[in-house]
Amino acid sequence: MKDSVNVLFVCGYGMGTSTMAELMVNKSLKAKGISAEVKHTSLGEMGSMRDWADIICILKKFLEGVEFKPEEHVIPLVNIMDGAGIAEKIGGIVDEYYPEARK
Amino acid sequence: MGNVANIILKDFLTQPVILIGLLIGIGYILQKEKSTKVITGTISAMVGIQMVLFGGAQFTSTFKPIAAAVSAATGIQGYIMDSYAMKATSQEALGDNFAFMGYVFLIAFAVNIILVYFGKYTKCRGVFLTGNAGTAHAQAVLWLVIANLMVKSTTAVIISGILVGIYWAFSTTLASGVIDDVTEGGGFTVGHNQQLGIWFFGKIAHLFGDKKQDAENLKLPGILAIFNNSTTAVCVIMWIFTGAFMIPLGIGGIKELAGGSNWINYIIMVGINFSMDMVILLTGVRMMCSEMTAAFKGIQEKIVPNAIPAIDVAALLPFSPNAATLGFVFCTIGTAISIGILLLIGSPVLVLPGSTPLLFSGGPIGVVANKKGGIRAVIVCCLLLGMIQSFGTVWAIDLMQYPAGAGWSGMFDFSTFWPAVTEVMKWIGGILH
Repeated sequence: MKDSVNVLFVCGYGMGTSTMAELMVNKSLKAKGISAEVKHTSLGEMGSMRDWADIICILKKFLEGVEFKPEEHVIPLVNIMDGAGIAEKIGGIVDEYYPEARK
Repeated sequence: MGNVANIILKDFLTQPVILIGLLIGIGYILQKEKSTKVITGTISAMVGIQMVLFGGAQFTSTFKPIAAAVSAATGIQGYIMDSYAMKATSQEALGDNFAFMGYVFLIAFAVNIILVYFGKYTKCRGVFLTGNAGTAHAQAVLWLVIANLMVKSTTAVIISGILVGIYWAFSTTLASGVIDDVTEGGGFTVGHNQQLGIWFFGKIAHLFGDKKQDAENLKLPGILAIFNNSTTAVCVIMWIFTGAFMIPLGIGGIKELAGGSNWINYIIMVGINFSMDMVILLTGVRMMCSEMTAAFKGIQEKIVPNAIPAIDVAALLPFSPNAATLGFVFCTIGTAISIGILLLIGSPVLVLPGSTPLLFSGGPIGVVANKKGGIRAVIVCCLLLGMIQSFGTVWAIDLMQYPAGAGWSGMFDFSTFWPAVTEVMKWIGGILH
């Protein structure tokens, strides 16, 4: 069983927006006792990190035309500053599939 | 001893990568990070900076032979408008002075924080947190100040820092009202390269249409989704615009550029190479700025907790994905129309769009226009945006004081506000010298 989940944030260039989302969510994940490793990238480079990621948080805009496998857990993001709300969704997936990651 | 100090000052501290690496290392130490973090963080950032310099040089060397050949054949000088072309141009122009952009950034951030701290008097509320755009502002404005005011580097660093800090504080605050409407109280503003454009179009978009005609009710062709993928978008946009730019060379001319090999191969590889240059640049900036956002957000929360965080513009795109796509399309059409006009009037300077102004000005301003005036506003505003950005960039290139550069930003604020500031600096510089 995994005692930590890998969360990948995806935006246009993989710099500003995904970094900020990662920062906002990280705080809330800690507060919820979820142990996670978090990284960010661009949609163009996402392919090289999909194997690593357990959960992919992707800007809703960039979901168009991307196909995910059924076993991939994807969270579409609207307001990236809503760290608590996004962490809540991550928590839901963690409890169902990676319960060991929550302490 | 004098000799040692001399070596340190002259050789060591003029090497940009070492100087900025030192700054970042000190930053980590001040944050009381563990020694392993200080070492790994500093070296990663230094590799990142070197990668940005390398990527910038690659970008220029991909484009320059084409520009030179077209210039020889037609007399028209082509430039690329993209934030990363501005990065490449300004870092080449600055040379050893490039390192000082780190100090410009820090001064600008301090000025921004002070203006927000005294927000009761200044009305400023936005704090600029976007490291990837902020470093580009710092180096571009530093170069404009050095080249136009012709002052020594220390004075130039201080002036640039103050100018950029004032721009950050006021532009992000101006845009905040519009962004609040668009995101229905999302709790952020935009700190990027088009905040003034967001404010401007946010104020006029309602004149052009009815917001009930929401772009989200449209069904757009799925193929447009390829432009969400930055690696693909850069390549395709470069094929279209740089490809068209090479038409005057004819097949023979392109063959000559390709060193005698196949001309179709050459055009295909131009797009692929631009995209690779971009991936190098993005990776470099990511390594250089990865921890910066966290550090600066921490400082903001400590000193001005009630400020509005000003973040990367892509945060607006999910609030109206269809409008973002339409904004991109019509900004591209507006840009193409402008290129046509430039050709018709026989302009000696031609601008070719990269992906950034089309996707990251066109997209977000499409979102704003849709929320204020529906589909018709998206079409009118983004056509206008493409034209303002194109003609504004011709103006900016006239003022960039480095004709050998690959190009300039092409984003709204760097095609309107900053060329205006540069004109003033050029005028003051003329009086001083």
